[in-house]
Amino acid sequence: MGSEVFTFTGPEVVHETVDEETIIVNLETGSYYDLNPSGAVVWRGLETRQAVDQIIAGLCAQYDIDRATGQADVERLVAELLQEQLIVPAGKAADGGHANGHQAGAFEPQPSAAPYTPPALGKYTDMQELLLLDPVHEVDDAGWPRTA
Amino acid sequence: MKLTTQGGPVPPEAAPRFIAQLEENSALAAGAAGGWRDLNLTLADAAVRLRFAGPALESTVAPAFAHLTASNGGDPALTVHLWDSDSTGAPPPQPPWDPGTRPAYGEIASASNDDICTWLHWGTNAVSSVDVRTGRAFFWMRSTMLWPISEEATPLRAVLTVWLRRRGIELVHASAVGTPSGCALIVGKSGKGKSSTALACLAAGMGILADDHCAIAPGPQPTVFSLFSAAKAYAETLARLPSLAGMEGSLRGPPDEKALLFVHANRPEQLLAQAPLRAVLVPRVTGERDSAVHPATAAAALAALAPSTIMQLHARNQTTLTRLGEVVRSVPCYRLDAGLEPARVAAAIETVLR
Repeated sequence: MGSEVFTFTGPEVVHETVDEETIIVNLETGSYYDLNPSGAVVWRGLETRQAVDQIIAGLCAQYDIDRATGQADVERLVAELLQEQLIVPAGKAADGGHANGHQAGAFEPQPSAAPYTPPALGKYTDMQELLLLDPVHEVDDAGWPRTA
Repeated sequence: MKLTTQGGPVPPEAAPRFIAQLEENSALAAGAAGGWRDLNLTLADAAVRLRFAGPALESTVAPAFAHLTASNGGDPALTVHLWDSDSTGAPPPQPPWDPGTRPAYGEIASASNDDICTWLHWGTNAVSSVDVRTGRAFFWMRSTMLWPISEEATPLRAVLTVWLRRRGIELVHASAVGTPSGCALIVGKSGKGKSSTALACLAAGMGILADDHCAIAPGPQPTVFSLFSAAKAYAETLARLPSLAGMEGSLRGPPDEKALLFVHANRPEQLLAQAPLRAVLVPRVTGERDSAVHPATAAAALAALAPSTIMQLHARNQTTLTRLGEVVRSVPCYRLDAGLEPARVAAAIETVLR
């Protein structure tokens, strides 16, 4: 997975980072998610089209953790994001650790004084019913939904 | 790019053609009703005109905006034409989908483009269409008999959401209380205590801008705008707030649904049109006697505000989420432990408005 690059699935995935945490909403499925600060670091790396290896290195530098821990945690989160269809593969990185066309250094992790907590993706599905409206069952002679 | 339900591209003339058809159909209805009846409003600092063909829709829609009435219309930034077929006798407009196609509720891609948003409304079977470039909107339904009481509290939300967004203002799922000098936004999905907190503040004499939905202009000093004058409350909530007794509207729905309270008709002095935003509150109903506020992260506030706003209010886009993030970053955020006594709820909130 090290040289792989990923991209967000599409415009149906919207996100915002506030106070080092990221909120993600999948407008198609109605599921929404939150990422803790270390997860938000990974998400930012994905957003700037860094290869997984670069994201691991950035996470380790930010939290002063060993490579094995960083690799296991990043790859686990990436697998979760793939399973949730929030990201899709976008090929492999060229030299410099980024996908073609993206500038190296677009994402520079800052050393964090906060204790390290492994990246965590929280998922919430309580809004899905807002998408699941009753379908139009019948139409009248004019073509409009038939009133009950 | 908009796609039809069949997956093909929508012809560029389709949305303007539907708008033109609605304009023609609404004029027919107005002619049959003896002309338009206009209601001029000042809404989010803009002149808005509601034009009703006949009294049927006017009696169900106008009360929600009574507190925003303007003395004269000037040159409105938005004109909304409202009519129904049953009371005016006007034929229904032709649907903007292929004959034999069963439509889906929500945005009608075949009658929408970058400037025009057309929506088929679940529950009322109404259709609304707004052209943000020309400031014209249309709202048609076959019969007002289909209008649920809950819709009376927040009519025209689809039109207002889209039109306000183009002006840089977001319609949000939130309550708001305070004074003309500053207000607090109360956020959370349905059932988390927004309305009960707002009603407790109303009962305690505090100003209110919204029970369930309001508009926010983000910026270094965000402003909250009131849109609707009604509140909704379950019977058990009203039982705990005896000072609000008698505010229920004359129409009532089933016992397990909320009753409508028209604040403008009963306590106009407490209904605020707008106020600067001072704080965002995430409520938690405790069942205790006392109330208290505690600092909360902006992330927690965004998590409470964003999902229901985005999923509920025709706001499924990145721009809205980005603006909501801007709002929660710009003012302090708190968790509100809301107790049972309205005066203590209001007093706790007042501490963050100073």
